[in-house]
Amino acid sequence: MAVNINTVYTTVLFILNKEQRGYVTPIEFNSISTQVQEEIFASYFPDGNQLNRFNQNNQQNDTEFFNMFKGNAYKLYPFEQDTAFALDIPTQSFYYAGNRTVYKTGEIISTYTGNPTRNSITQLTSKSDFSTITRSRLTSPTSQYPIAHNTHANVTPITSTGTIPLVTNNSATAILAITTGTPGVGNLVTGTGIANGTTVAAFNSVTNLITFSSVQTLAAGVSLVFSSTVIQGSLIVTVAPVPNSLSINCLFRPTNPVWGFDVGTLGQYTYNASTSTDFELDVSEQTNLIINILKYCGIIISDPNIVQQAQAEAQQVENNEKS
Amino acid sequence: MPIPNGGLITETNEQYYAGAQGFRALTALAGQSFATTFDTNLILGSSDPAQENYTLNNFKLYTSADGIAYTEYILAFTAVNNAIIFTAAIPIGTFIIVQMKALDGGSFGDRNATGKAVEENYGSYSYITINDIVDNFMVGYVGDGKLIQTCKKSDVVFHVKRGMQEFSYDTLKSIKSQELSIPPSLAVILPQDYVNYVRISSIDRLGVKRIIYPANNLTISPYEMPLQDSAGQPTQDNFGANLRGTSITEERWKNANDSQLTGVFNNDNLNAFFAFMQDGYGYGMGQYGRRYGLDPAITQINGWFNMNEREGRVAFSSNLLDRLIVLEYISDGLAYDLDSRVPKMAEDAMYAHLLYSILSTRSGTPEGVVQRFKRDRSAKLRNAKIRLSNIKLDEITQVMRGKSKWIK
Repeated sequence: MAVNINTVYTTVLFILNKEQRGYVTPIEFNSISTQVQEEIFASYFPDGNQLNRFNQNNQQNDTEFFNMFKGNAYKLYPFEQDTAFALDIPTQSFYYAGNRTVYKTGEIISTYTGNPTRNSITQLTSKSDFSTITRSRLTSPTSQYPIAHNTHANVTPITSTGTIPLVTNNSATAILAITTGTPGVGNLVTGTGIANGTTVAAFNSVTNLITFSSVQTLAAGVSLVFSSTVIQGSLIVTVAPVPNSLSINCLFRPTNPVWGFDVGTLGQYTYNASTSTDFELDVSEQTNLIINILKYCGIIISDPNIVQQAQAEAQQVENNEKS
Repeated sequence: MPIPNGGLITETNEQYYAGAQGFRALTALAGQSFATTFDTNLILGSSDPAQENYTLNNFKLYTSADGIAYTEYILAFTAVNNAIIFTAAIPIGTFIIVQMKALDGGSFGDRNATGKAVEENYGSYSYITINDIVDNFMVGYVGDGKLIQTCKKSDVVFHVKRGMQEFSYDTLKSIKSQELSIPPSLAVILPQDYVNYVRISSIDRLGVKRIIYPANNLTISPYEMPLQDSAGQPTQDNFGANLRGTSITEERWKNANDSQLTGVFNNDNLNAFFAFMQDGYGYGMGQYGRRYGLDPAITQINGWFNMNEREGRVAFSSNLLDRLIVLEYISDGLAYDLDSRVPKMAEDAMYAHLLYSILSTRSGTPEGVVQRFKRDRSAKLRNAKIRLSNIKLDEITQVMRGKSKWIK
């Protein structure tokens, strides 16, 4: 459950105003909130590593609600999502086609259709291990033991392929024989004889009549590839052997919190829930958020007392959690 | 016997013994799917009997309107994730049978689902697949709070395969055999998955095995036969490689009269025998080793074999021409895929092998821990050998009953 941003903002203002220490504008608050959420989110990983040593030394308290390692891992749930990756046909690699930013990749499941259909746990390796493991005949990957490595590249997702059966002579339209998918308006068109930068202006899925953005002269039987907008610097996962589909338990970067507002008749800021974005952190982080935001607010309003007090408070919370 | 209810057995009695599983169509929709749960995966080359790949199928599909008279379903269907998916609609209430191919052809339709899929599954409960061993090991021995905190799965796969190879050589009952006839060349090709032989026997008219012994020092199949010039120098071809001839040793061995070695004397080889004596091998009986008496090691009529490493064949003595032989050999258990199986009797030994192999190759492991698991592996492997050697008290008793018989 997320932390309500208005609760945090009003609490912060209340604490600051109580001693007439100053005022933090919504713009400043939004920037600080983003920074604090990132800090708390990033702290989960070294904390998890540290807390896991209790597991390794067999000293973990595993009573129902007091296993600190599990508690720390639980806080990541709002950012975890099983995500289907799309196949980039030319490179036979998989890429993330969504809008969010992948922070880390967890368990990778490769699905191989057949008898039986296998959903195999995929071992993520470095590129060099990938090459080494692949070359050993005893460990070379199979559909039961696939391996994967990550890289990143620009991807041009192919939405459709097809051919033009008849000659097109200086015309912007043609009948398309679809091989795969369906061309979309705005898709980039490539193929022998196609002018650079040609896009799809219109496509009639009943008659298969395609309208190009410019006139074309094409030979009969020419193959066309339709691709959507290039994804810059996408996460690329290469799996061997290439599965039919790939699903990765991804950890996404938190969405930036926004305290949305309207301006009232007196020029005051009033909260607008519809334009706001709550903190994605778990509700148990509300205190941490407020303390850390106060710390930055103290810096902004140049009050070392607030900074010191907030820092001491935050340190105490952290020490308490990890001891 | 109970139906599968969460235990390790996942097939019904019908699936195991008859290789059949039945369904009933509850709707008349096209694209209906029926998931089979055999231990054996379905193999579908084609649903169309007119297609060549139809013969690759390891099952046949039968339908019936009344559940009594079944006919083979030869319209289009597919098999994905071991589920049969009918392309067209089938009538409501249709009885559907998936019959794995069996030696007797099954019990449905024309009883012509002929193959070995059912028989190959018999006895499978006594084995565990390598795949399962890897998964079990990762669950039981790797993780937080365990001795092996983390381990790459590829390392486990490597060690389990190496273990499988080593176990196959001396612990597992993975002896394979081929029944072959000795051709005029007096040599048979080594099996594709051959690692070493266990025993080669000829089979007599009663079907009794007669052990063929290795020729050892009697003859040899040389690896190189360079052609020599008159000075004894090997000669080379245009590319600088030695010219090779054929082996005269092998030729002489092929033409040898075995009775001159074994001491067997019969009317058929009388003339050859006298000719042999005149060659200077002696006078009188003239057998190999005669001056000091016959060599008991070669005084046998079953014949000899020797390994021809040059050609990858087993060569036999000439008295075995046209004889039926059985070649028993060991493989390494990895010839085909990760579905290679380990007897359950050796499952714990395999886990111990994995533990020792991983800990001993990991830096920083205390030597005491390594030694502990070395001894653990050794003890469990010995247990596995004893278990798999199949020593039964009744059988020992039966053998011992012959102890009072005098051997003259």
